[in-house]
Amino acid sequence: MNPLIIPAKIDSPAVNLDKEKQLFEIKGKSLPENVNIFYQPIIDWFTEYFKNPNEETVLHFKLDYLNTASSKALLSLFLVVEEAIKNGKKAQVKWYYEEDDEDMKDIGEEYANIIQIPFEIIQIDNE
Amino acid sequence: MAIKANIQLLTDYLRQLNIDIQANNVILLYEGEVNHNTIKVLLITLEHRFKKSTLSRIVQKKIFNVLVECIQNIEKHTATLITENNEFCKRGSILIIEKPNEIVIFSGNLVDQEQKKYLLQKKLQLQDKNKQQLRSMYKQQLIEGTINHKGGAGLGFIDMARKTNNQIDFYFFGTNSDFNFFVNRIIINKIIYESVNNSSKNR
Repeated sequence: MNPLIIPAKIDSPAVNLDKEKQLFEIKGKSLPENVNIFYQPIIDWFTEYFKNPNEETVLHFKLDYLNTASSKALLSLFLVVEEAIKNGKKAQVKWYYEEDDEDMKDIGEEYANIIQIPFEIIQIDNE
Repeated sequence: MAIKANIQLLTDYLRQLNIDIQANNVILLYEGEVNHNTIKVLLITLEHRFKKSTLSRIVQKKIFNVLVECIQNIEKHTATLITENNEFCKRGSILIIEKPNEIVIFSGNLVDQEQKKYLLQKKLQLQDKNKQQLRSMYKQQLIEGTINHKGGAGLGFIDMARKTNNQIDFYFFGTNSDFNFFVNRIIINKIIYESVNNSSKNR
């Protein structure tokens, strides 16, 4: 399966999805002009990936900033992961937030409450 | 609905709220066309400005957050204007000022009666809501809302209220037409977040 690599921009995060390297990471600021255009290829990639995934999949989210439309799009992505787990696949999410960034921690907690995925919320030092 | 209208300036309306801009430290003032590129330019401007700022990172992030949602709200809920060249455009204004204990963010734009009605509904929804109630509203909208054709998820005002302890005010000023000039004021309390920042650093 081809990796999906999208470089970071001022308004969109870096996306590194590579089955072979077991790397599944979204990192940076997320406020793209059109969230559907940005996130749909990512959702499609995971939908395809979970047809034949690695033994275990760990998704890393290191978001510095997330606008509200992106938060909705991410929920759609998490629902794909949830569906895969329901179908017997092994996957988990690691959600990182900077020390003191209660807002980013809160949104992680919302997701953890809404979706049925092993969801770890991890504090990291300020950059 | 598109109109030919005189340009309305936020700074003119703020005088009616007795806001003396010159007495405050202006972090950012923008009046002009509003689109996605505006957001990108203003974010770069703020990032540059914050390099020399003593504001904590958490307050800086909240300012970014509110700025983005304000501009996206303007894009979604403003009257479309026709320029002198007969081109359509959306105009809006942003003012961010720093006071000793707080950051005050104003956004301004022209709204038609339908947009005013929508905004008044939003105001009513947020009125007197505490942190926990706002959290429930956010969660419900996150689950039930869909991304509409304007690219919104119906979360913008709730999110701003959550992140600022619901310190949001709406003002509507009459103009010489059927339109109102809408001013949104959002306050970020520096003291609360600076103290959170310091206390966690001292742990």
